[in-house]
Amino acid sequence: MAPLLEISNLSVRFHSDKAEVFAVNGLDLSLDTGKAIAIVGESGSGKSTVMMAVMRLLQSNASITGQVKLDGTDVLQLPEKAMRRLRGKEMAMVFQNAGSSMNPTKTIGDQMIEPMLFHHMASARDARQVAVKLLHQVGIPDPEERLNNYPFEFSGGQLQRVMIAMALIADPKLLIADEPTTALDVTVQAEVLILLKKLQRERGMGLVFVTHDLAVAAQVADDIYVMYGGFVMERIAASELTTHLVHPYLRGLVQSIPKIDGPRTELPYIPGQPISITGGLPDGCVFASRCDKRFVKCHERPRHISISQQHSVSCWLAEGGVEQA
Amino acid sequence: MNRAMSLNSVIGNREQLIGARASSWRRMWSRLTKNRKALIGAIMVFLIVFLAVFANWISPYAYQQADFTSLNQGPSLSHILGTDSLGRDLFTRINYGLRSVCIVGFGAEFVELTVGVMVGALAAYKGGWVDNVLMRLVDAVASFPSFLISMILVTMMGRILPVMLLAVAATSWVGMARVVRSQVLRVRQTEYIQAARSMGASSLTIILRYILPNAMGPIVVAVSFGIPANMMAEAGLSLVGLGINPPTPDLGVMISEGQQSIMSYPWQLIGPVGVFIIALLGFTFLGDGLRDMFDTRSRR
Repeated sequence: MAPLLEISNLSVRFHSDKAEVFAVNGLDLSLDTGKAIAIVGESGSGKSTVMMAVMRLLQSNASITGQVKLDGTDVLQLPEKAMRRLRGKEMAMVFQNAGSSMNPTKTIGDQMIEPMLFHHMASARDARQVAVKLLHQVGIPDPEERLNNYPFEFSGGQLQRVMIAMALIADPKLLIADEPTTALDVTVQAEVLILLKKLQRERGMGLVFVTHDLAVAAQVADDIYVMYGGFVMERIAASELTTHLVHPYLRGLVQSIPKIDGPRTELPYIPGQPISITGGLPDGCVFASRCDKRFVKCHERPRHISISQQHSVSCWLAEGGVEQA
Repeated sequence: MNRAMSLNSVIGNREQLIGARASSWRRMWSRLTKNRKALIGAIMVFLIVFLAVFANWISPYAYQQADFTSLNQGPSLSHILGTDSLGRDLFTRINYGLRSVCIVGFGAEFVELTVGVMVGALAAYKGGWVDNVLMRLVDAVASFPSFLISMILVTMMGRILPVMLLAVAATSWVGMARVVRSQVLRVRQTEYIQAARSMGASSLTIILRYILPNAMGPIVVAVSFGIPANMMAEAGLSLVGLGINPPTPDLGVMISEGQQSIMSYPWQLIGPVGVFIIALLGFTFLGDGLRDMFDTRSRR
């Protein structure tokens, strides 16, 4: 079976007056129906840009090359009008700040039903019925009454639930969640994560979860893509995250997660600053300048080395047999 | 005390809370009516518009009806604002004069709004060279002395109401275009526009249902300040002798005539000027109130 979303050799560059920004550089990714993947990376690693490229919502100064196949059709080749028919219906997006991602001048009821109206799926009245049902599913009490409220009358966590419900209203096959829990408290974050996961399973959707939080990614996703400087550093199954990781960058990330128990020791961190991808890329590995395992070969750009079916890594260390963490 | 009140409203019963959030219009209305100055402004505007619209019914005389037995009179029971040098009732003439003033004031503002919103929204939404060309056009028009342009237009095309209206609107739309452009630019980069696009909204939907409602506040304020400005411009034209052709009454013409006889018959100036002041102040107060109403920073 062909994957729901298959990205091959995707590159995104932004042209500004001064310089060219190499935001995404030859990314491969695939997601099967009913599965969840997470794209993890620091800010500026290009993780959100990938998904914005999939939705074709990037600004006009972006040039995109490669292939993004949704259900077999390359969305990068579609005319804008056809693209608009996909947005909201085939693939929908949940944004980071629900508060500023909702139109403040409209009630959430009017907003929620919009995707259905845009795609002529139902009358306004029927769509409201669906909205009520969905709000109930995401755990908003008194949904019928709440439909008449404005976004500012909700709390942050509630609004994120509303946003999720709104993304689901047209029953998309692919849901993209761009850091949906980053702006929330830890407790609320857990609730929203569980909700997202539950909805994804029930509906058999594909879910792409973009986050900077490895722990969150491990909770939600089946597969994890770790990005750095616009490259995928390592692709690994969530279940193997703590045992089989190879790339020094990912190791650094895992080690720098603070632990609540155990003796209080100095927290390990990755030295240096995230690489600047403005202007140009280094010839070799983008992580080399911060890597403590750097050796001669790192002057060459590492290729993707497959370790198992679900596990690949772009690091020369993996070439001569895998050194276990 | 303030604190106690806010606490009270928080724990107030459910019906009250729901009632309070019933509609944003009602909430805006209550904010407007709480603002004393805006309320007075609204009443003044209402009075002026009422006089203008119902001039036929309210006025005790016909506006061209001269009474040569009562020239240059002061206020009396039969002529409450006195008469002019031809014995015509000033109150009547003011009512009809208000009619032309309102037609020019509102009409020019309507033209201004239509053109300004189209140009401003298009420039901001399209950006790039479209924006550049349109805004340079706006700059060019704005750099002309507007009164001169209006004078030229009226001289060329005749002293009739539609021409006055266009002459006033011809230059004032640029301010509106700038306001609209800046508002659209502000709203356009908000996240909810991005979210709307991710749901499959078309450009037209985004402009009509997302950008314009959110850009409305400053535009409404600009309109409420634009109307008195148009009235002033029209009166200014009349004052220099380029007003509407007599015998159609015109406030500006009446003021300029009254000003010539200010020493001997002051009432001929006081009446028209007083009413004109009410009109201008009314709109300005209302505009101030609307600005407070839409200003999110001054909420609470």
